[in-house]
Amino acid sequence: MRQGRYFVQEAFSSLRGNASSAAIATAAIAFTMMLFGLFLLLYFNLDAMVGALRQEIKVILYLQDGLSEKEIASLQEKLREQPGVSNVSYISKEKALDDFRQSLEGKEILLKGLGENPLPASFELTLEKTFQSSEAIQRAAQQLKTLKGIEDIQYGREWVENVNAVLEILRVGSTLIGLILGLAAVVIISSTIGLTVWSRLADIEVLRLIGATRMYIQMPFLLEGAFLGLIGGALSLLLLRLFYELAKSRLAETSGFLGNSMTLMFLPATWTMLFLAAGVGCGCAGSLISIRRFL
Amino acid sequence: MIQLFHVYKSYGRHRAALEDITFRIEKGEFALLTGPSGAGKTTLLKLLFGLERPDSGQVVIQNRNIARLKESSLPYLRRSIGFIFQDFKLLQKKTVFDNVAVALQITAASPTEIRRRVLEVLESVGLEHKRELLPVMLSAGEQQRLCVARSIVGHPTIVLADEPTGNLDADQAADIVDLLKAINAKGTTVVVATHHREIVSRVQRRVIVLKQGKIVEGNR
Repeated sequence: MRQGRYFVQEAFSSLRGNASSAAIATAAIAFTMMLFGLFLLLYFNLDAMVGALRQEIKVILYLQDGLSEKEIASLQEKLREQPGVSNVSYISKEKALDDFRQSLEGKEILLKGLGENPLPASFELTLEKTFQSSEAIQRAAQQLKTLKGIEDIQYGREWVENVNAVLEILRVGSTLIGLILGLAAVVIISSTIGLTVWSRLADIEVLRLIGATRMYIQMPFLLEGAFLGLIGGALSLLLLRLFYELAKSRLAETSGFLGNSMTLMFLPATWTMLFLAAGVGCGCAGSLISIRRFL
Repeated sequence: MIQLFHVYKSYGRHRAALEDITFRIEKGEFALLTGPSGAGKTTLLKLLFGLERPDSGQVVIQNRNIARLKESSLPYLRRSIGFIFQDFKLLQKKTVFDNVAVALQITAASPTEIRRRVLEVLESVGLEHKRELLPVMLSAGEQQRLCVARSIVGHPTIVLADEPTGNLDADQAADIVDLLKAINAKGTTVVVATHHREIVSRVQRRVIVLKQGKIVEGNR
């Protein structure tokens, strides 16, 4: 505790003594961490967006022609009992044609001369959240195909797989970029602390000669690095917040124009804490590298 | 208190700094290590302080064999030995008070205890009134007295001094020698490496003479 006070005093006195290099290091850390934060923000928002879109994934079961009403009702009952199915809605041949006609909007003439209704009746299935991965949908589809009266099954398999692939790329990309930028932050802090250690080599030698332990000598430098990392991390969060608010207000303007309701989210609270902890971690690592190089 | 048995130390293949050194210094003794420059006086003190390890032989200080001491244990050995350097080795950005206090701060002593002991020791070396000054504002003699104060504030059982009067004029040197005698009078073992004949004649205690890394006089 007594020594803790000394360590803090020494760390702050050293920061005051090297204020300009400390400020440059803090700004550089803030910038590198902010770049990483931007990737994280992008990832979290895309993940949330995809999560919302996934809820709209529907499996469509096309029925064989000529099924009786009783057969259709019994099939609907069977589908409701299937695991993972949250909603089943029936679309008759007539409704399908009607929907198709509406989707053509002004080009209904294309349907002129169409004799018998070629569109099949179908069931639209909404799946529970846990059944929305591409593998789960594929498994469910194969199972449903075995039911009597089903002609064909269609679901957005490719779409689901593409979105998952994009998210995976973003996840790996964020991790890689995070590692590279984290390394950059460590190098920046290491050089800054290195300057401090270098300027205090004579004092360090005196401390060693009078019996100071390695820990006693290292601790103020470690604290200095941790502090630089913490401030750098906090500054980067502030910059990220500013960027987020700006993007949100821009999006609000566009939403008003386009009429969509897309909203952005900031980093979750745990990630904010992790972000600060990463700053402190980079600071300590940078200090340790410097100290080990000189002591 | 201090025992050396057949100690050898060399730097490189052909530069033997110490050869077959064996001697013993009793508790409370005042011993002078003398000899021309390059005789091995500083190397010998470095061995006693754990700054160097012997190539072979035993260096025993307060029943601890320095040759076998772990690196992590050296700070604790150094706290029990006061060292006075020819070039003072002071913290230039710290005040006189802080330069002495640091020797106690590393042991986690309480602030009250530190203040009491630092003021006491500064008074004993005549620097109490200069406690707020930086070392650069002191004369060479005062800087060496400050170094002496730092070396004894932790109540060490042994004080080693390497050419403590090397950078001082005759009067300042006499002051330091008197201080060392006073420290020894309180029961502390004192070993001083010097090539100044005036100091040898002023102290009039046991003299160990080294020449080309070997003891040629004063062995026991």
